[in-house]
Amino acid sequence: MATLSLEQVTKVFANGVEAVSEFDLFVEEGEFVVLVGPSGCGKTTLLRMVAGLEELTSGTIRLGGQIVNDVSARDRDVAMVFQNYALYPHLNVLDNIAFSLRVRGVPKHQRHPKAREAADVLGLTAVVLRKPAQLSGGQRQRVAMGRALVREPAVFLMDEPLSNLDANLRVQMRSEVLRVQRRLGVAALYVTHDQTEAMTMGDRVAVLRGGTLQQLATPQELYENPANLFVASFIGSPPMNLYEGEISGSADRLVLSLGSQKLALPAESGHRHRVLEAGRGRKLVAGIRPEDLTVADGETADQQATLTALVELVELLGNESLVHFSTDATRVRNNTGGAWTPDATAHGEIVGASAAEGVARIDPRVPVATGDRVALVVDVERIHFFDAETGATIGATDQSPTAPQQPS
Amino acid sequence: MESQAGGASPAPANTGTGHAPGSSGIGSLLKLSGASKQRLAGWLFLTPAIAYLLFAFALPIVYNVLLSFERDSLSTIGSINAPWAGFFNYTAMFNDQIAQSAIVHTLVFTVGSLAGQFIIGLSLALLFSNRFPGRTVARSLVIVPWLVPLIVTGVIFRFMFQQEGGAINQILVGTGLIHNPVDWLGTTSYALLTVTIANIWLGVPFFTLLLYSALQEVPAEVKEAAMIDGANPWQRLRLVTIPIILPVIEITFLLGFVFTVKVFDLVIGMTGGGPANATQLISTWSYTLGFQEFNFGEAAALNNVLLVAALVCAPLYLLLSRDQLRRSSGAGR
Ligand SMILES: Nc1ncnc2c1ncn2[C@@H]1O[C@H](COP(=O)(O)OP(=O)(O)OP(=O)(O)O)[C@@H](O)[C@H]1O
Ligand SMILES: [Mg+2]
Repeated sequence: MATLSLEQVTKVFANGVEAVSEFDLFVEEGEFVVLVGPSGCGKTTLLRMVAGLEELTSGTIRLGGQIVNDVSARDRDVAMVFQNYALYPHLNVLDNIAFSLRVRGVPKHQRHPKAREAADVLGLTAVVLRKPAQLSGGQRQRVAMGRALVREPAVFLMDEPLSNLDANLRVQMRSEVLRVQRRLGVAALYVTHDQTEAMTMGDRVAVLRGGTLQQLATPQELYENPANLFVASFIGSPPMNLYEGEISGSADRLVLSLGSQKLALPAESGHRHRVLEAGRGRKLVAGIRPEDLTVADGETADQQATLTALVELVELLGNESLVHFSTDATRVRNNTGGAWTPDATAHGEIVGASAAEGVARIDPRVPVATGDRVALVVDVERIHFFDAETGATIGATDQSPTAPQQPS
Repeated sequence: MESQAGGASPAPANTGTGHAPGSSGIGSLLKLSGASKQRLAGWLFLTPAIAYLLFAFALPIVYNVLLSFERDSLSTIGSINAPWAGFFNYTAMFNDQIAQSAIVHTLVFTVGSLAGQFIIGLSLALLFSNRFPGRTVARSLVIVPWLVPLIVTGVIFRFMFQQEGGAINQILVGTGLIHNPVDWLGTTSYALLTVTIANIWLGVPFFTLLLYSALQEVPAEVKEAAMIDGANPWQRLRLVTIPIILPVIEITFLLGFVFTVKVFDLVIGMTGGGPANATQLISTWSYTLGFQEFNFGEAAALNNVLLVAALVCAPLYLLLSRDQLRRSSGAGR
């Protein structure tokens, strides 16, 4: 059990790829920190550096306060679940799980019951005598988990350990992983692509992009106060609707224009308001979460800030409906089209896209059909504003107040 | 191993006739005839290979077995029907002191060679698996022993191990490891060791190349996982790397065995079987028996000892290679 801290950790590969740049992170004892980010953003590289499998180009990694930059993987006392399992192909499930005990000289009659216990927890009881080649992808992944669980390491490192499981098993395993981690009280660094997993598991979540930390905060904080456009678009499913906008109007009555539509902003006196006021006439990006949109009923429509939209598709999910709509506002996406990619390193590449689309998450009892022209009421208090050049959130004075600061 | 991921998929059905399963009686009849047609084609393709095998392998073996039961001399060797000798040649062989020691020498020589070749070959293979400057050059130098004709190798080694002025003695005396030059090839107690050392040198490239390519197949992350699990380098080698490449090791040993028991040129070049038959092997002694003493029968009988060894090895080889196939396809339970 130990704390884990990374200070200014940078990795430049021999081929010149800078996979991780000046990364800072502090993980408390017993804390579960999730790393999320798109493919190729350096998550695995980061984990490998913590494990001692990859040398740092610069920076410091501490385990329990001790600098471990030059400590070999073998002596770091970390457990790691590899993205592609890395099971021992010649050993059966039991021996795979018990391997770490074996090399520590634990005799067979002691290590096998322990391994069997881990196998039971992971639902591998029926296959303990099989070799990895005879297991399904999900079973292999659980063996890889078992190998980490059977140890009592200083730090848990997990690289997308649940990505190959079916939905039910994944939900079940999430809580199992958390339970074991809580029981051992060990710091955990958990990599995932899946933002639902990140949000449900992480005490805090670190969002990475192109090797740099975008934001480190609690899931709630990340969702409500994304530090920039990237985090805003990455966290949340369906993702935040992002439009090109412009602020106009008088100081006490600012108006946001999205295409031809105008939304009156509430009068505030805060920092954000002042920044918006100062930026009148300049392009910015406005973000509206799908749940901050509701379908107006005829009478109230005039008094509220509404977006007129054409319904293109309605997804009925039972407990909610996802209404896909189009407006004449210019939707914002990055220039590679669609998904954020690691090569888009700066924030300045946002270009307008003509196909204006958006999603609203509404009450399934509200009758809406494809082809309807609806007025969507916008919860104007909850609109997010981003600088169109830098992508930074406008008016975010104190980012991530919940994040424990590193000891200096 | 990534390739094991698809282990569960069954082998592709080999009907090749395009008939839907569960078709009518006539359909399955057609399918049968199609299959047998295919089988016929298969045999036709195999015919040249089978003819070659019969000529190149079966014929000499059968002839050798026949010879060992005949009383042959220079005058009868050319004809088919030499006088029948029963087991005479075999009793003669087992009463022949030199033949007996040749069998023992062959055993010692083979075990010693294989052990040395494996240890050195594996060490080199492990060395070449690491990155270091000049790795590619060093790796290609490993096959040098194969570029030299065996008989030349024998002569070179004879020079190197000479008592007076031989390179080995000069080095050993020079570094103070020994005081007086050793007569490596002239002393009965050293000669077999010397010949074995030369043969190890010859076999190292084979072991190195096979083991090296096997090592490349060991996934880096599996070794890393072992490292994280706390295994030291020796444990990683013993508990992870070697077990993973074990199928290749087994086959390398088997082939190495077959190559080693029939070594001939090297010994002829270095010692000619001497001194006092101290390096006489099955191969060299049966050669001497047959072509210098014209005792064809006993020579053949002695050679059949090798044949028996080969007969044991061949099925073993098939078993192991099938086993390896099964293991790597992940179909074994
Ligand atoms: N050994 C290496 N040599 C050179 N470049 C590398 C090496 N390993 C990774 N990279 C590069 O570093 C970047 C980060 O890779 P990394 O594997 O850490 O991404 P990741 O976030 O784990 O992606 P994924 O989610 O797809 O697993 C990528 O651009 C990758 O191509
Ligand atoms: Mg990865």
